[in-house]
Amino acid sequence: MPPTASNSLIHSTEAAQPHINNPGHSGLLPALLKAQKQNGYISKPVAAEIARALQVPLADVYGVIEFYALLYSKPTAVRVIRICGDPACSIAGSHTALKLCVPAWVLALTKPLPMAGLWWSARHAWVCVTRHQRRW
Amino acid sequence: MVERSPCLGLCDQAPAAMVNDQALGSIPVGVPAAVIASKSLAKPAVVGGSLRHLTRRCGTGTTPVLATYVADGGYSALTKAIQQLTPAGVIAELKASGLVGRGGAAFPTGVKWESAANASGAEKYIVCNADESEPGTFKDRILMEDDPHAVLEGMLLAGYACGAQRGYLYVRAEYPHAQQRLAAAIAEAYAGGYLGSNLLGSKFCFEIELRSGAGAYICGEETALFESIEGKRGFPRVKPPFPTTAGLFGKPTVVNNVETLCNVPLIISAGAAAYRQHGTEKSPGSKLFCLSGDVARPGLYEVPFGVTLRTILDEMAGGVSGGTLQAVLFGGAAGAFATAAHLDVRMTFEDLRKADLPLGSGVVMVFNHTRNLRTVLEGLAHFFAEESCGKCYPCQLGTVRQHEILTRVAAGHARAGDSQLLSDVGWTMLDASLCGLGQTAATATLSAIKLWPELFAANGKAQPAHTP
Repeated sequence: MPPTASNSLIHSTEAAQPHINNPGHSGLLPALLKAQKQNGYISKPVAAEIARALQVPLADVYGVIEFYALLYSKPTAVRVIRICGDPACSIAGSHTALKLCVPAWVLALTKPLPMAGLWWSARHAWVCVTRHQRRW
Repeated sequence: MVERSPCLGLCDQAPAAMVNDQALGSIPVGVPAAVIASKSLAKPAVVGGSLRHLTRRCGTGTTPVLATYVADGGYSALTKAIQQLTPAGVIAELKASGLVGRGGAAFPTGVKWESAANASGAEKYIVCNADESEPGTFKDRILMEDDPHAVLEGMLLAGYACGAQRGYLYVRAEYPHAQQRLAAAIAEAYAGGYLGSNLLGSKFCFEIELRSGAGAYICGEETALFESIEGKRGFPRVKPPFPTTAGLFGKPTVVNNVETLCNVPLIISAGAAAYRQHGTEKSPGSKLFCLSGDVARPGLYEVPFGVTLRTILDEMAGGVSGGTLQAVLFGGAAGAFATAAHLDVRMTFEDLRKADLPLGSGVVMVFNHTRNLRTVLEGLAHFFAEESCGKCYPCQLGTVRQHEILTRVAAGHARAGDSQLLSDVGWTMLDASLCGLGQTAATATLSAIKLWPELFAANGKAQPAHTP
């Protein structure tokens, strides 16, 4: 299901904090985070809509998406596991955990598959495979 | 989908992970990721220490709501400031207290506020830097989760003293729980009349906006943080001009760390003289230390300045676990290594400066004698290579070169002259980088070269773990 692009994205960002009014560039990061929260990633139509609504060049929108590690322009898995790899966690064994982690598409298949959600799960698995290939 | 993440601020519960917005601590190692996702929610942190001022409401497992906070003396400092003190009076009290910034740079807070208050222009900003991304640090997370109103009160006092009408609270994206609790606290403060217009019957108006980062260590650098709030890539700016004259949106801005701001209500309500009763002459007050790694009781410890590392490590955190002390990473990834010889150094700015150790953000990460320090160094180098923003060349190139060299050192393929190469790269970054990230990206490596030159020797592979 393609994410719907509309002004409601940005309006709902503001609805979360009613006293806030962020027109223009300064509203970009909150709008991107909000859009990602709804869809899991920031699709092309959503990015274009945000650029239009905030009157920010589309190149700037992508510049920001690319800069921040937790903004995704490609679909992500429904469940993202982030394992800390820094020293304290690493010596406590997180590196072993990272090495042992099964590929993402296996994870997707281990999710419960209710019949109604079968199509969605298949799509999700495909998305994970492509993402898996991109990242490894 | 599994990703390697930079420090999640859960070092007291290592190894840590996050599944979407859910923090997990002490995850099972050696099982498939699907099992990790269903297990071990992060627990409330261990909070201890010999002086519980800043952390008096922390570690209970509950977050005080507005009524509880007010009943416990909360917002009394703000009331006192507005009703009894002028903005200049607040700054004078702060200068008398000798409070210095707790984010790492140790700049006198009163002086910073004064220069922002004296800056021309009616529009000014207060920014709370809650982008706590330094590996090994989790003090600000605990303060925000367990005492969110104290952070808001600190920002309000800064706004009153400097004549600002608006504050930004920039929290890193890896702290969704802290964000939720701060958002709830902000809503409560608006409803309770502690934020908004004409506060407590005065002409003082103050708004706070909660902002989330999106996964960038560099945004903890103050000017990069401004860029991020302005909706740009988090590139640091050239200084001067300093934030107090041209900061966020080009306006005079005060930017303080969470721990610094939490000190302010204590100083204003008790007075500078009472605050100075703890700590030393040049380092008054208390400091939060984040103990992690091979210690018996990892956690957050509040102590007055002046206690020794031995006291914190042995008496409070229960000593080294799993062996004898090999090294302490002091001040985080941007810090330096200490050894058993440093155990009796007093924790004050002046003593640490003499011992060539940075206090940084209060990280004490302990490694016992079984740990391979080459791997630790390689991990730190990986972190900096990943997080360098790439704006200036010394850091953009240097962090990657440093990682390459340390990768082969860790793999046991060190070449002759690697130690010299690392020093050259390190000193170049230290001298020529634009911001604090590049300037500190090699400090841990340089301190290791000084302490253990044999780690970088060409025949280093015979030694799987360094023994002291």
